[in-house]
Amino acid sequence: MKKKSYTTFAAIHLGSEKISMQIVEYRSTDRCKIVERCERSVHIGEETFKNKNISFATVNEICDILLGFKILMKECGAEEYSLQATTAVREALNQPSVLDQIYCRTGLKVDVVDLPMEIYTTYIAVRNTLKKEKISTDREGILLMDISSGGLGLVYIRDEKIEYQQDFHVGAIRIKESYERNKRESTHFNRALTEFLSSTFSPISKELGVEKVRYLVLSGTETQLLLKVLGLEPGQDIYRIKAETFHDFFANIQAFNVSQLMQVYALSENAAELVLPITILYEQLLNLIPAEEIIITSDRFIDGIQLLHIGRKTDEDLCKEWEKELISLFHCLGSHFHYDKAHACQVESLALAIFDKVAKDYGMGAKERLLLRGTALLHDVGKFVNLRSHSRYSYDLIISSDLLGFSEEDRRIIALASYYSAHQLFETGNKRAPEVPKRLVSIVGKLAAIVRLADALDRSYLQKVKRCQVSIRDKVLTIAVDVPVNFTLEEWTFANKADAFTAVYGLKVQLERIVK
Amino acid sequence: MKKKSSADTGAQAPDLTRPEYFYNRELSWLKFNLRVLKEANVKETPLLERLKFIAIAASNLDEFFMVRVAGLCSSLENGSEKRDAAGMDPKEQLDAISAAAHELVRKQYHYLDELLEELAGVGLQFVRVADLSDANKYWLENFYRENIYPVLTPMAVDASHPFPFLANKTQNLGVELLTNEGERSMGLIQVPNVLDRITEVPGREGRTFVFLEDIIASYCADLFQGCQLLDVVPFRITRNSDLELEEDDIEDLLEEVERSLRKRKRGAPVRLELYKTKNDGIRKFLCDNLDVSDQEVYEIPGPLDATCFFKFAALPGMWPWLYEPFVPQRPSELPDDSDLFAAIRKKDILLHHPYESFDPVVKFVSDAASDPKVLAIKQTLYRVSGNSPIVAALARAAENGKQVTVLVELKARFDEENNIIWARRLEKAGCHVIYGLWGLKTHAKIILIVRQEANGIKRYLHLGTGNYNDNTAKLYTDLGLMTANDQLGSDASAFFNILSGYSEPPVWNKLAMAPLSLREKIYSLIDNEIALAKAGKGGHLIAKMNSLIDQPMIQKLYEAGAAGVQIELIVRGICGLRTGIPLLSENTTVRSIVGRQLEHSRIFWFANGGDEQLYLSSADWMPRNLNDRVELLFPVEEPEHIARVKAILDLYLRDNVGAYMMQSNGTYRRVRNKAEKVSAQAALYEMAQLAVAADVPPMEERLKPLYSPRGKFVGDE
Repeated sequence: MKKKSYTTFAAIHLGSEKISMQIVEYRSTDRCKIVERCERSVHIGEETFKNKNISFATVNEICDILLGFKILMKECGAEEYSLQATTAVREALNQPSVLDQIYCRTGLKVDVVDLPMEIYTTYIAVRNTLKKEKISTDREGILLMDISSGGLGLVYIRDEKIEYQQDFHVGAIRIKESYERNKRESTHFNRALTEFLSSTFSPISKELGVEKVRYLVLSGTETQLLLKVLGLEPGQDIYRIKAETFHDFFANIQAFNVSQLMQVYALSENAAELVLPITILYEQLLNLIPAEEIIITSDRFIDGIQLLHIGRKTDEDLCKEWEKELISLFHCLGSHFHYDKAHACQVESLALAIFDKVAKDYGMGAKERLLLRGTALLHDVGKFVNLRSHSRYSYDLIISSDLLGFSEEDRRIIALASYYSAHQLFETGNKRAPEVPKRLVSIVGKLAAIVRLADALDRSYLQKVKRCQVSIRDKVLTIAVDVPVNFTLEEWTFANKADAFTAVYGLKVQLERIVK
Repeated sequence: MKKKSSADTGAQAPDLTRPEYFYNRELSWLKFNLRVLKEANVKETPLLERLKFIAIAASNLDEFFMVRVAGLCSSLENGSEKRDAAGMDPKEQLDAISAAAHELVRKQYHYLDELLEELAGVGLQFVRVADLSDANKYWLENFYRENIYPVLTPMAVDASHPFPFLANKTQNLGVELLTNEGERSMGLIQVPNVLDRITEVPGREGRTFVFLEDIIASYCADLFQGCQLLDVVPFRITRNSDLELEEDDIEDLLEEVERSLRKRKRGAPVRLELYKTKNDGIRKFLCDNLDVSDQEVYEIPGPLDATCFFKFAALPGMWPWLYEPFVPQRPSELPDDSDLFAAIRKKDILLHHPYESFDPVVKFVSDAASDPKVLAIKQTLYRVSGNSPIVAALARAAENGKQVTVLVELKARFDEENNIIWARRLEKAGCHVIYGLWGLKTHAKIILIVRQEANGIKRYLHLGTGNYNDNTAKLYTDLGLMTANDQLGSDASAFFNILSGYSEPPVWNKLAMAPLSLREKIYSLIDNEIALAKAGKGGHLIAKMNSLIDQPMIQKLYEAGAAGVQIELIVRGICGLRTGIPLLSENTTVRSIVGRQLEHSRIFWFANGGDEQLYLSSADWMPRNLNDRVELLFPVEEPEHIARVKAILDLYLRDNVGAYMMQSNGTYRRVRNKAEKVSAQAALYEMAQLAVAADVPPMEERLKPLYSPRGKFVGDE
């Protein structure tokens, strides 16, 4: 049979409320066709949020559904798949057993994504839709809010840069399951929930209070429910509603109880129980960050899985765009902690020059390059807390931050590399040194060594190096710099830091000045 | 005629629940069966075809008693007084049914008598054994001894021999005996159904036939040694045969259906057919032991169980008294079916069976089974033929490595055993077999084929109004659509994902599925006509189906009628709607077509203000279809197909040969008018034949020789 000119990919999301699959035939990000869509309700989230475990019966149900999906994949000739699990599986204490059972029974491997990565994945799909609709961020910002069952992610974008990002452990199902039924049915529930959310979100208004937000873009699992109660027909990619319309709607709906919601909006009990928490959430955010217009997209996490997969395989330009946005997130975080931007950029530039020379021979690629950039830009943020032992604070701040688009492990690598760019990797007796898991020693060491050298070359924080050329010959890495002013401090610092680089890379390092 | 509406008169909205607005379902069905029976009286029809109509009516009546009457008897036994839409409780219905059925049987045997006389006139005689010549009697007695006697089991019924269990639809002989002690006693002889019911006696001029029960009655005296035979009276018992599936607790539907099948043969008696006799003793004996009331006893002035005439008409040499063989024609839209997928990709194909052959549908699955590009085949099976070529193709497809999913409806009444056999066979071949759904019968007719092509996977569909049964496809009128439309393909995939349990219902593109949204879709189409009528733009709909008994749907039609919509209904069988109700159904006509073919297609046409809309469906408008079955309603969108089907409907509406029109009192009268005679079925067959003839190249062209391109003869070196 003639070879296919397209690839068939199955994106599967093991979510808190549903298991969904989307099978797409693609040649590029612009040439995609969804050939199969299916989803089944499975109430995993309720079990995890209440009992912290996923029951055996539910695991069986999940496996049966996945086996069915596997058949559909064969029917469509799918060659690639990605099965990703989010909140409910992520937070289940018996997660390892669950994943093992799924693999043994279905042969499918599950990737459990953490919250920032989950939100980023949906974010990618939403950004793509907004770009297609030509919704620009040039003059006024867009606040993207993605609410999943267990979490909420906020991203503020202006001029195509991420200016603010924060995740919250507040999601539709989580709220519902955090309060028992009798509390939810209490006449004081709305008020209590409003106050809880207000206090949870108040830091946002401090961060974004001066920003002008034109659009509030909503996405997530419960937007379909919101569309239904707003009386909008499903099936469109995008919906636009004036903020006043939403306020009026909220004023009406908060008077209803669950039974009334079921009747008026023809909802199941489960769905009706989610309506109030969701609308209160949205209303609270609209009050904190007034926007002119609300945009609801139909993009879901699974659309993000699809776009990320296809983009990474076929669209280098798009990947570069994504990377650019992630870099802006580093700057956003750095700026939040009052970093020295010029110094951070200089370290980044010098580190990249070194990285690009050694990467290929030392098993590093695009992913590691991005992590290096993060390390370089954020290595000094700890000075925000205290100038003494700032590297430890850098580690603490980075590890505690939500880094959209980076997994927990990625964040850990950046945090560790930041710390160890200022310390010896295997220094004994330092009780404050964060532990490096064995599997991360190599990458942390490599990135830290590069940043250490690059940092040394800007020890004065004056960005003396105007131009830099890196070469390797006969096991010697030579960094030739064009420096028009006195470079003594940097030369001395460089000499002290070179050994650490040699220890990791097995290359001698020398610094040369370019003579004009 | 100006269409009246309630808006014109300013009348208040009528109460559409009034019982007088509805006909009782069972009585309506009996009227349908009467129309079938009356085909036996159409003198232009060949003799044996008329006889077959008597057999059809008898078979229909058997099923009616086994299921419908049995259901009412159970309701009555349980003390139910629930009234139907026509306001009748179970007792009232049973009384009315008895009256109508008795009258129907009386007519049946009147027609049969006449037919038997006419058959005798052409040399096909049915005679009593007593009227045979001595030579024939001698031959017959030998025949009895060798073939019949060995399989007979006489049963005495007395204090030490209780009345035996008699299986459903078996024919038996009630025997009155006089013992040597001078006491009267009773006995029974079962008429074996393994033997032919009708035996041809050789030698006489023409052909002579006798009935098995008559043979047994004539020679059975020696079965009861020591007793004198006083009287022998044939009778037949019909039992409640509805399966009782306890779906709540079952884990294995297959096992439960098998269990219930075993129970079916033993339901309570609902009818006793008794050869007309003056012997009250035998009558009372049977009624007491079978626990049947007088109402349930049918005196038959002729041979019991007229379904025997099916086999009779199929005997060798009967062709002079039968229709010319009906040959389904090559479909006009498929002059060349060598590459079906290419043909379907080019444009949708509409098939009209039985006028057009069912072969392309079989080929569709068969080709898919062997096509290396085909990834998957999915199909619903409701009633399949024995040795079905479609089932064989599905099994072959699975063996060839395709993903094959089949939903075999185990609960297809009276086909359960058949379907169990095929289900097991498919599973063994490697198909994923779904044995129906827990609480619904799957009645939709759909085939989905997924094929990997250069530009991506392509879905090919067949959607139909009739079962995937190549035998009934030669008898039933049905329509089918073959399409590669992406939106329908996506809907079909979603449909099978729902049946397989992989997914929840999506937002549909074009299909409507019962019990989820089909009813609402039809309402919206009717509402559209209502809105057009109220806006003065004229509303008009034509609906063809087998049964119309769903009360809310009938009320919707009344609502449409009240708004001034013109409604033309072609309902073959049961119709609960009354025509001629002032302001409600004065603009509504109901006609029923009965003929050589069994009308089976479900077609729904809506004028839509000039932008016609046409839908086909697997569903009739009955509660079971709309609420309790998985059904599909699908649009036909090609303008040429809409025109073609509209022309078919117009033919039905002009039919004055096989058509009956419902009168305002609920009776049906044959449509007879001064217009030229139009038989829709005959016309459609002729059109199919002409279409094929038109495709055949002229003889001149066919006689052209084929030479090799270099001018030499083909085959030269």
